[in-house]
Amino acid sequence: MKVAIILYLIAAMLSTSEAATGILSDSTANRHKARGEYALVVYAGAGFSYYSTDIGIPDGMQNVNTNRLGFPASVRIMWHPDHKLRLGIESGWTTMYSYTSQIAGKDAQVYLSAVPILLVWSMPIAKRFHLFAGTGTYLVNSHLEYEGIVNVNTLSMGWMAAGSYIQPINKNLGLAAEVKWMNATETADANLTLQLQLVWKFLRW
Amino acid sequence: MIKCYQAIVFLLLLLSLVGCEKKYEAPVPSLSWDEYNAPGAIPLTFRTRQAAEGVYSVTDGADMFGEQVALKWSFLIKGKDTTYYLSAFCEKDVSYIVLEGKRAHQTLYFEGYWRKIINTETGIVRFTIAADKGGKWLSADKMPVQRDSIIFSGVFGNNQDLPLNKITFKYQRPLNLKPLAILAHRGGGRTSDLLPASENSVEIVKLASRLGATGIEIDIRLTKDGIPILYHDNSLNLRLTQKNGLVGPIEEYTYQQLYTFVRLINGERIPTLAEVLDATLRNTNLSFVWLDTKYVGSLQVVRKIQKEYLQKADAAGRKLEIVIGLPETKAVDMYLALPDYASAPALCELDMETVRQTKAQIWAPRWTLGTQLDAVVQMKAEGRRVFVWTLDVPQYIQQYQEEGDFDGMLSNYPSIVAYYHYTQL
Repeated sequence: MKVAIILYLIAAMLSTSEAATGILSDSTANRHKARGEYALVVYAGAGFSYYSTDIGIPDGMQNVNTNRLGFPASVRIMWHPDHKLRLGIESGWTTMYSYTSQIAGKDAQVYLSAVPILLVWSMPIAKRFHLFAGTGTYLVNSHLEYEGIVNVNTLSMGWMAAGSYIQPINKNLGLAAEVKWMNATETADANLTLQLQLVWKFLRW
Repeated sequence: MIKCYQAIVFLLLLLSLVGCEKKYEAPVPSLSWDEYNAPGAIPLTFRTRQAAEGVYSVTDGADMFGEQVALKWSFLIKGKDTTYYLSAFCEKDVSYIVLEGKRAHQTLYFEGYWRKIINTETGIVRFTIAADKGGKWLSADKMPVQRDSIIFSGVFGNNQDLPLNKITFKYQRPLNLKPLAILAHRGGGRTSDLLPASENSVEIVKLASRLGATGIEIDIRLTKDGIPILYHDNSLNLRLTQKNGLVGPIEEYTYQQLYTFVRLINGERIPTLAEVLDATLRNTNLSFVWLDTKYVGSLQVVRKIQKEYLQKADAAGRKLEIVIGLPETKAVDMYLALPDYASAPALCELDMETVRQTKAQIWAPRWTLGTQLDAVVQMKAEGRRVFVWTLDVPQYIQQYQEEGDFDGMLSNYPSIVAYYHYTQL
């Protein structure tokens, strides 16, 4: 399968884009040129997240109250060459989960969040629809309030996968709705996010 | 059509990222044998237990466990009760069997489980020693010893299946009782080897003797409030702990925070050094503890606990050595900063000159340096003992026992060290 994927990616790199439209399209007129338009596009957005894997709560906790919802924000910069396969980087911030509880009458709170630092590639698959996938690391932050406050970070390898619908506003701007799965593998943290994004083609050459 | 193909390939690319991680398990099977649990069955006596130890040939089941096994008893004290375990150390696939025994009339019954440490294979095993196969004189108090007649006849199965495969052990000779410290890494074994207890826990220390160990090596770190605990890695992670929302360096948390929120993989709490030494002293017959210091800071608190438990062992008439491990120069500096370092038992992993400088009673060279016969002889001539670490490959364990002159051997697989040692001619 991996060989097939590699071959496909090479083919994609060598073929010009025909599927994309709107501000993210590569003009079909460019097909006949030696090289089409290159551009840098920023995707910036925010929305909601839902923590989608098990929350590990130790035994002995009382009055446990968990919260899987969060308000993530993300920034992605993509290089759009005149081919279908696009590359870029992504970062941002997302809540993973939090829980409060009581232990022997004392309040406790654990709050987990993450900053993704990912290498991303994307591909238009239909008119205004794009898929994104990324791999890299998550800077996972754990905040504990119990018998003192502890605020520590650790790095976790991880990945993300997303699908976007982009509605063009003008030649350089668009508005996107994106569904994204974020997964910090080493710490086994994953959430599903829904974001509204501003898409801006800020540089072209 | 092309778009569809593109989408499918892209999804496959995503799937290759997601992948499926297989979860490996080797749970100890639950045991329920009517004959073993019959109302008339009684515990085995000291004489019976002692007489049953030895090297046995495997006449049925050799394809599973190898040509011969070493049978050795260990025990675990729980309050006023003592449970005795008969372990069979096997060569094939680093396998071992753990049994408990009872006697009804002139027949001995043994029930337990077997495990291959190199994979997840495990299962139930049952033995009897019939009256005419040694059971009669093993059951008697004063009959002459006739070990040559002992035959363990039994069956074994896979996982929780009813045991149906024949297994037979026939007595060959006594165990090799030349002294060798068989030291189990991380308190008894690694979590990744799917043992029934987590590494560096009180529970694995209690299990260590059944796995063949006569001593343990444990990893010491300090909590934020300065309490020595057992934990190998430098951060909380899912390799060693259950998911709990806490991440990062373990030294960032107080003992109370770790006690409340963190459970090791098999559900145990991270123990303090004092808890582990207490269990070693009160519950086991382990005779050696190697404190591998994994932190940079003062050794005063570790030294204080070491001293306390050495005194407790003395007071209890218990043979127990507790040594501070010196794995690197920073640890040596920490050790030499102790006001009473010269009287603090230590084990040094560095070169011979540093061993002399620290006055460590034990030199522990890395196994990759070879058997170093001349250096070992020299250290022994100076009154020191030499332990080699960390040997896990059966072929090298055998070679180092046959060609080396070590007083102790550290391994993640104490059962195979025990096998080669006890069966050595």
